Amino acid sequence: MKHFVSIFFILITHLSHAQSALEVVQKADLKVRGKSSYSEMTISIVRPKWQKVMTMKNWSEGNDFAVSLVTSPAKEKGSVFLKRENEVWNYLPSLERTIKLPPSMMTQSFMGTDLTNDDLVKQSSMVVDYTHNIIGEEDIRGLKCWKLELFPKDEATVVWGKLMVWIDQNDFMQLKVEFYDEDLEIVNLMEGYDVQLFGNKKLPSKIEFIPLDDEGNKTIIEYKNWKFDVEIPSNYFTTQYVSRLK
Amino acid sequence: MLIRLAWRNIWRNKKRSIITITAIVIAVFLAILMRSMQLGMYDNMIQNVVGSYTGHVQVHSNGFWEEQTIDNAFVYNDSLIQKIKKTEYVAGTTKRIQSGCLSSYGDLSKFVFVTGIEPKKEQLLTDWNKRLIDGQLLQTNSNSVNVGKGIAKYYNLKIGDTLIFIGQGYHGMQAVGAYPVSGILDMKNPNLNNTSVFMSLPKAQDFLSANNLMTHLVINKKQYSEEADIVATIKKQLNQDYEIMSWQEMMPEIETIIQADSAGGLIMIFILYMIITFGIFGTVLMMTQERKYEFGVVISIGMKKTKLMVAMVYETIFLSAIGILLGIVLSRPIVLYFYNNPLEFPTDQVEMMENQGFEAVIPFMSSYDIPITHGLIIFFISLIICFYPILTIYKLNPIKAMKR
Repeated sequence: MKHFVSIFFILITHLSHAQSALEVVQKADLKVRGKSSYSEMTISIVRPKWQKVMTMKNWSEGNDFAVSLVTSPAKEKGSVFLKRENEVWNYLPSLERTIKLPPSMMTQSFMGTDLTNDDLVKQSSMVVDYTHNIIGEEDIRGLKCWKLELFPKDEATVVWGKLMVWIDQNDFMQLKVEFYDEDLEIVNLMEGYDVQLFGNKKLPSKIEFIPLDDEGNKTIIEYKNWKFDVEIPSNYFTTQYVSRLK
Repeated sequence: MLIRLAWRNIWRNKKRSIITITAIVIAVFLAILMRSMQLGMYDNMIQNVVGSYTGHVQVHSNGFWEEQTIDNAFVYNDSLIQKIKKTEYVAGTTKRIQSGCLSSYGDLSKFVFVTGIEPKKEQLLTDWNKRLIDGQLLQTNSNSVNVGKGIAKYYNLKIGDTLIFIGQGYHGMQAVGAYPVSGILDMKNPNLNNTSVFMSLPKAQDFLSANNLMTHLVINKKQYSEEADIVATIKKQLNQDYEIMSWQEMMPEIETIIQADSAGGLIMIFILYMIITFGIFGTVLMMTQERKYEFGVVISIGMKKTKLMVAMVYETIFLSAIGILLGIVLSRPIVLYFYNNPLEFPTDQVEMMENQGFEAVIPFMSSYDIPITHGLIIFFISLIICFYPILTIYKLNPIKAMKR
């Protein structure tokens, strides 16, 4: 009987733990996205021999709609990436044409960064496509974090074999994510730095994305301006409007 | 005196001599045709790809060959090019910038290599007019592209149609552009035809955001000089930032194919020579046995054995020389004919050959090297065979020989 109680107790705590793990991820996800958002950011591509900096403006609404406009360098200015549900469209001003990225190009690098086009589309999948477990607590840059282990669900179409996510306990910021391949070898590392207040939200303003296979390569995203729950005209997320985006 | 004797001996038994000569003629004839065909095919292959496109030697930024991306391009300056031009055996240089990207027309898309070239200098490498099938060649600053005929066929392109290119330029810049097609080329090589898009150098640099950069510096050698010598001299002059490669290093597959195929050919030739050697030996053996009585008589009336041997050698020389010359004379028109009108493969095999990267024709090689080499080889074979009658004469006992 005593045994039964303890087993029952463990089960209960386990369940409630699992429940709160999902909640943690959901909260963290919702925090970054908000209902809608507008941001200005600088993306730096770092390579052993060179560096490239570009700036972008982004608008997003919920999970399904997002649009990004490249504002510099001059040669790429005016390029637009439009995400509508699972589709990504690319507007190229020099061709005056909008191209739908074929599935084969989804695994390709996004604008020469270490991120893939797929990474952009699958933003929300951390909540939906994975099972979540809190496996411990750790400090990251002085902030107390939950350490979560995420495994993809059987039916999910994701490329990773496992994710390790560190989410800060006070403000639900993702401070560190480790990406593992199907052999559970670590492949990529994402870390958030320089926590700042954007509106009323505390978020890391600088995110580093490091592919561990290529030494000296990394992509740094720095948010200069980040507003949440802003009004965005719905025509912003149509293929007709991309050429007029400013 | 001995020479005259030998000459007369040959014509004393015409049938016998003609049999020997025929054996030699056939040997020379077959050997020359086989080698002309093989070497002609290799020469054509090398000429199509190396001489007229790859260049004999190339200079890249160090590490480019391992990782052929636009990020491994290098800045050119005139002093570098002057230095290379002054090198011995260098006939000329031309700059190129190349990067792979996606091309698109209508609903179709295809991976291609966009190459920025200097049309005037490329012209020195090979006659581009001969390559042009339709439209016009690029000019120094053309804002259009020339494409290989494989690409034109894939998209069903006509002159004036606009192709779209999307790729990555230098240091992660987007490379996007739309260019009209001004000319369609036949690069005489199926791979090149299916992937080559040419732009003028400045336009390609602009497209790839790579001003003042190039990926290849192509060097053409002077005739009859060795690539390895050029590579060695240039290596001494340039520092570690560059890699200098000969076409054998860049395209070991061609070298390997040639070596493998050539080895097969040499085995065939070897077998041919074996058969011929025994053919000639057979006739000589017969002749020697027939003439034992005659040798015995000549020696017993006082001719020295050595003189008789020398006469035998002369005979062999006459016989083989006649045979070889006849063989060369007979093969020459055929070789020349197929040199000017290359053999074409049957239509059902053309595609297979082209998929493997060969042009489906075999022009013969008209060089005199081949008849001379094979003529000499057969000449030596007959000289070696000539040892048999000499040995027979040496051992000859006139009394026994004359006994019937």
